[in-house]
Amino acid sequence: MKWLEKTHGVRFELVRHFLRRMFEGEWSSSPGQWRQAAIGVFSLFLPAGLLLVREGSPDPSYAFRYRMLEASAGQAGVRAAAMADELALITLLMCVTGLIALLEWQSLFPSRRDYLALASLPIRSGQVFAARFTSALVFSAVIVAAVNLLPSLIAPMEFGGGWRVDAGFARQAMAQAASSGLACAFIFFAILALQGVLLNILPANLFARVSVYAQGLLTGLFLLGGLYSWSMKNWTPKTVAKVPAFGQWFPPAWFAGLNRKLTGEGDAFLLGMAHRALVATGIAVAVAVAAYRVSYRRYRKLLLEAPVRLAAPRAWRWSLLRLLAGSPRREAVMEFMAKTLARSRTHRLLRLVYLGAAVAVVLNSSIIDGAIFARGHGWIKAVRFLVLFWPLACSVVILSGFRHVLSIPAELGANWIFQLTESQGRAEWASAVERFVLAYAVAPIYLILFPVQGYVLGWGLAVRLIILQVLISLSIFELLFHSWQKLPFTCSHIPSQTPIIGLVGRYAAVLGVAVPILSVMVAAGSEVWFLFPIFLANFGGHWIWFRRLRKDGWGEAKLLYEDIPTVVTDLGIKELTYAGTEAQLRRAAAGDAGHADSEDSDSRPDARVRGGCSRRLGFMA
Amino acid sequence: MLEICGLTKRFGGIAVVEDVSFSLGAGEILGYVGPNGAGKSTTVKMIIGLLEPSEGQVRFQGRSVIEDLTGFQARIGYVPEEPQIYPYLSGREYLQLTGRLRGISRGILEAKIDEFLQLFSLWEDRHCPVSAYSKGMRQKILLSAALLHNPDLLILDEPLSGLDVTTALVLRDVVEGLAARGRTILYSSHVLDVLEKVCSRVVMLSKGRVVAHDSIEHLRQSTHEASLEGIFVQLTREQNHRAVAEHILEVIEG
Repeated sequence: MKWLEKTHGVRFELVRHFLRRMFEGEWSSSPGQWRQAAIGVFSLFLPAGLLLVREGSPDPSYAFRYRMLEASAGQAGVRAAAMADELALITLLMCVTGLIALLEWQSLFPSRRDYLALASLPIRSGQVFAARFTSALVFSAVIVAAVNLLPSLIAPMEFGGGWRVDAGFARQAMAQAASSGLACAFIFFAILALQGVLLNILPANLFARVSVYAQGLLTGLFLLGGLYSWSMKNWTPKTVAKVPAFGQWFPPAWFAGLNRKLTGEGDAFLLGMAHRALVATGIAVAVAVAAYRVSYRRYRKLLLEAPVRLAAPRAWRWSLLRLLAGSPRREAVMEFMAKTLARSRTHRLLRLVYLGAAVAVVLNSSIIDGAIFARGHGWIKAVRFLVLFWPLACSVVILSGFRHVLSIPAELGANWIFQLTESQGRAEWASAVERFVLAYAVAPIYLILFPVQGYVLGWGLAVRLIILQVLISLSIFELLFHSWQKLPFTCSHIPSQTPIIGLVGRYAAVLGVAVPILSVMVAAGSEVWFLFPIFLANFGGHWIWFRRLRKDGWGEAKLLYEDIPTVVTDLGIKELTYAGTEAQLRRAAAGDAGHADSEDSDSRPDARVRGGCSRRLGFMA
Repeated sequence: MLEICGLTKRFGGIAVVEDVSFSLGAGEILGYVGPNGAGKSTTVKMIIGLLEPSEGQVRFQGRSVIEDLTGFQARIGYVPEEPQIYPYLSGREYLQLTGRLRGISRGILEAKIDEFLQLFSLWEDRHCPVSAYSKGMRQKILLSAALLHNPDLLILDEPLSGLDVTTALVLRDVVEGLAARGRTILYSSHVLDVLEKVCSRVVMLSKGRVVAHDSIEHLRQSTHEASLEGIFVQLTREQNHRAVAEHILEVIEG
């Protein structure tokens, strides 16, 4: 530890600084806590390997798959299933690493802030680039290790074997670590190389815009791949036999080939794929290094000399947003939300991530359902699935995503203007948030799908269907935003402590169980005439009840500007003293008048009430 | 009239502002001065309602501001010490945000914004994001935002920070003009020569406590100092500045 505390060379100090910044992402508002963030990254990803464990699954065909295959299909069947599992694992790990690399996109190359902050120091541009590259290398090594550690130990036991640790285990574990680790490194450096190439070929004013779209596109692709990897595990021997037909253009097949080569197995095709994996990784690393070397002069100019100007607003007499707002205070908040979502890079990227996730969920579910490929039965089956399942699945993903994105602060220090004017417009601000989320998250889903529903199902059925679906979407909004007690982007944010396995479990439960059940109920309710009023009353009643619960204190309780990690129960001892009684009276008066919170005060009575409920009612938040 | 009565603020039991009391009436400009960390900005934040006082109260026109904080905050204009503005908004958009948050109707707001942008020489850069603005340009935006709603009480915390000489002179005249029109102005600053020219009275703060509260003329007489700077050095007695400067030179060379 003492060695780390000493001052070292320029390059080391720069790497140390950049590495801290990579862990202290803009989505976390706790600067200086990079060690905790780094540990958090490990603790988030380490348990993810446990998802590979089959034993204990309630489905015996899943839990004892290899034993059943060994008995029924023989070694050929076992080998095919093992290849499917291997491909699924490598696909998942590549997608997870790709998503992390995309989240760190801004930190992969030096930023304008780096140049400005380091301008007065005797540091050359090349040193800044070298340090950035080194920090990216260290970061990638940490992530690759975290993501691969448990899967490398569990996969050799699970894939094809059952629970045995024999003499071949070490070799298999090493092969797994090398192949999946190299796959992750390939994807990380490919993204690094892509950014470097874009940087060198695009004009300055296009680079930022294209970067965001590239990130969004890749995010959707990785989410789709990650979700689809769960279906790949169930590939039949017939599908696995077709891998040579498309494997040359399917990177997970390259690294699965490398795995087989390292374990001393595999046919000519897999050995060829192993060669391809090594060449591809080499090319990705070489292009990334070359991009760093070529771009550092141009990049400095791009950052420091590029003209910065926003598009002049069109002088339209009316706008949808103004129409929705209806008052200057609501318009202020809605404009602020729209502009932050459009212009803050972090928020724009996160929004794209959730939109990509929604698309990935619905596409993936359609692929699993077979609806998209059911051309033999006509497109009607595919479209029926689309209009029944998609609206609710999209509502779950997009609304929970919106809640997350709105929770991430933007330029926290600038929130004083809201604190200063809060008491004048709190209620209107709260209604602005409600209108904005419903207009920008829920309405587009139904505006897009209603004409399709009408065309496929007939307008009468479509109207009944959409009424029930909208009621459920509104109820999801009420549940997710029940504990919402802040203005978007103005409150500090403590990232969720829930590990990935927990989050995946929650989403799987909602999207895999609750949404299909509700979709079937909605379908039955809209098709069977006597069921419609029953479901309408049921869903409508629930929505009204949830809405009442949310409205209790919504827009009245003081807004929060600081995230509270845990709410400690106050035993009320302090209130027994004279000073406590006085403080209580003062707080009551301040609370009534909507006075801003005290920094040294531990009392936030209204915050506790709404925060307490959030833990009961909020999910995926 | 703004009355500050026994205002105290403690952070974790440590008082950073202790028993501060003063008052200022309509048409008056009160200077609020003190060394770094004396508690000036904390006092200002308590007055405008960003921080809750540990003790004491703020009264405006005879009523505690707690009784009608909404009404009080609607009547104040505030320029913060740090020019913290949303960097991805343009100067014009930030002024729109502020004006709308204060409930100013569209027609009046747009006209005022255009006037302010032209008068503060920001018209050409009105569509540039604030992140591309210089410190002085940001300060001009904050000043415009504080004046948009024609406040009765203006609270300025280091308003000249980053401003060029011409704009500083304009601001001085604006402040004096507002006072002449009956507005109440609390002017917190380190720039003592400007305070000396603008303010009728000053409150001096040292280590969270008021060490002087009088007209500049009386302070000159009682301290036998010709300038506010001399009065400040004598009353705050923070450090022997010459000795500190000598020490710094030694450290630089050592």
